[in-house]
Amino acid sequence: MNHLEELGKAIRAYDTEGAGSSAQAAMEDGVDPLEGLDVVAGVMKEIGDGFESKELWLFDLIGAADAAKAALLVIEAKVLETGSQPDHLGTVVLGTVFGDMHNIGKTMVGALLTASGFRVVDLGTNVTSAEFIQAAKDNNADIVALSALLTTTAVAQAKVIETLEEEGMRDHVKVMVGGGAITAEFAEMIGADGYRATAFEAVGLASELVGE
Amino acid sequence: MAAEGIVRNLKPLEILTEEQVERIHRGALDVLEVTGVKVESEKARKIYEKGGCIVDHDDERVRFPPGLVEQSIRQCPTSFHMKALDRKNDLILGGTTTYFALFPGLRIADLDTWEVRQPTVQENHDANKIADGLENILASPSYTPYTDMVDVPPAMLLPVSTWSRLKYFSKISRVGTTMSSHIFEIQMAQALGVDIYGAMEAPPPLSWNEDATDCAIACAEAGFPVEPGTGGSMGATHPATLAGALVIGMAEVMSGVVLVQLVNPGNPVIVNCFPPPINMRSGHPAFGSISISLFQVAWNQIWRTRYGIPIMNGGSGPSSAKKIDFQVGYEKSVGAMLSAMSGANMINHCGGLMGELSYHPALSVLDNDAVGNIKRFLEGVKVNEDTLAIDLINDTGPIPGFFLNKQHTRDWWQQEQFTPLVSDQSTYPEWLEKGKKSSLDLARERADALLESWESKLSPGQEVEIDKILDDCRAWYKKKDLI
Repeated sequence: MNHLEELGKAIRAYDTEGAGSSAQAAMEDGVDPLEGLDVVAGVMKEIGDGFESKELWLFDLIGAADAAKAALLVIEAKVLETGSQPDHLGTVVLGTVFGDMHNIGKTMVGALLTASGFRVVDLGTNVTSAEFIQAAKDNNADIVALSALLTTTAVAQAKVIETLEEEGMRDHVKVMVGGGAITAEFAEMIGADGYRATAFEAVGLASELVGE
Repeated sequence: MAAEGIVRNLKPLEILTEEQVERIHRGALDVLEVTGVKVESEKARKIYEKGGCIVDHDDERVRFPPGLVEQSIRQCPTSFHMKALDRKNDLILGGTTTYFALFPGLRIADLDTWEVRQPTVQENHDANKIADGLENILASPSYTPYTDMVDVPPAMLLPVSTWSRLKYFSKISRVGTTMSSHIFEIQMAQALGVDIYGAMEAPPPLSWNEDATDCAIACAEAGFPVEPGTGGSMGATHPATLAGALVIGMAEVMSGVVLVQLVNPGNPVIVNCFPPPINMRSGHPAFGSISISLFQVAWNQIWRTRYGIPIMNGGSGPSSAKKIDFQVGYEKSVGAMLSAMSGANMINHCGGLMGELSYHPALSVLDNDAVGNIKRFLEGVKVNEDTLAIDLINDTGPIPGFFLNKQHTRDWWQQEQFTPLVSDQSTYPEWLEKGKKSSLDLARERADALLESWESKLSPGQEVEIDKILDDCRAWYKKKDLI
């Protein structure tokens, strides 16, 4: 079995360590990093399809996404080093806004975006506006995706949008919002480019926003 | 004087062996000693450190010597009295008494479309007035009935919610814990001379954010009871297994109890935790699942038998049902009955619908009726010479013997039999004649009648005082640029 086959097997087995080491071995053997990205995307699509058809559970999706993330860390470093042009749909900087610790919905959106061919930079929970802006700059983000479950923290989504405007980034960075406390009206009011109520719909929205 | 509540005259429901209770207790102590909890607030970490915990300030981690945890639990009162605005609604929490409370919902459910929308502040007031008249509802958590309200900025949601409850709900209330709103909510309670209890709500797993510890510290300093309450999600932020969820929930709540006892030794606490399982398809909490009751019954057994501290449950409050239908009825009532039978002292239950997404006063009227049923069941079977009625049975004999015309029936009927207030118990002809009304129709009518007959228990002076505190709060948030 070659390293890329091992990588695919490790992601299917939710083996984070194995996925990272197979990716590392592949890169050390001189495998084209773009081929590595293709393998990760292919397996994640398979997992995402299984989840959507209810053959797989959320823990399968998240387990595979964690393993994929470990592999992507290695492969993306190589992409940068070689200057290759990866063929992903776009880069999404994702996080739960400041003051809010809710993790599940945001993580699910991240996994499904990865499964659909996006590059995802997950900043975690309780993320400040400054952290979103910096990550968007560092990763040349196409989309900033903001989650908030609490009514009291939803307003922090507006703050991120304001900061993007102040930084002059708003014309080339789209903003999508979601979470239990968010409604389409709220999204419109704060000037977001879109809102969807479910993680699956969020993937469709991301594709629309990058023109796919 | 105190509200009657539900006095359990039955042996409590138990589902764990003594050995299982001990293993869960030891597991929680082990987690607290080895891993500890993350505490965001430096102020709280310093209190823990001074009290004997091992604190790593860089990692915001607090680890607990088992002896300190056990000593803190021993310091908690086994029961305590809470003073309500209307003194007939005072509560004595602990022992074999159970009280029911409201359960919050983010927005109001429209009973025609079954969609949710933001309620107005007036609708929030009205929902409080209706709950004020419901005989089996004796308390309310913070951000209840509705969490969200039209034209109220996020920073003001909790203060407005507490202000509304203190004005229109004369029973015991909880104060919230967002953006330091508890400062003003405590002031409002103090201005009225009533007791409130403080929410110390954790973002799981094993973490306390600054608002939670700030609220707990402030309430303990003021001598108000504190509710360390956690609620992760089994399979996501808590282990998927019931035993594992109990260990982590115990550890989280115990760490809260320690903080309260370090701030004010002997301060009352009431312990709460309900982690619904995750819906493994959508990622949402699977409210209404029977495993929540398994968790809570075990939780109640452990805290009641091992520690003797007043216990709160909230798992029966939010059903996953989107309508006031069969599902909401069975999910909520089965859960509430199991909580009450296993010894919960306060059950946050009435009015919540669609997970935590909505509330409706008509549902609180129906839940109030269901609680009446639970109350009657827990009162049990009274066995004495008079209730056995042996002489009466012998005197009455077989057919044409009849008990409807006996003084014994007149004497005992209302004590022994529960008659629901809104559930449909009409005969079929009566039902036809009165317009084929459902129990929900009847509940809406009762809600309207309660709203109509509501009277304020505040003096005009008290009203002015808490209005002023709300204005101060608004000015404070404006100054902080949060409005």
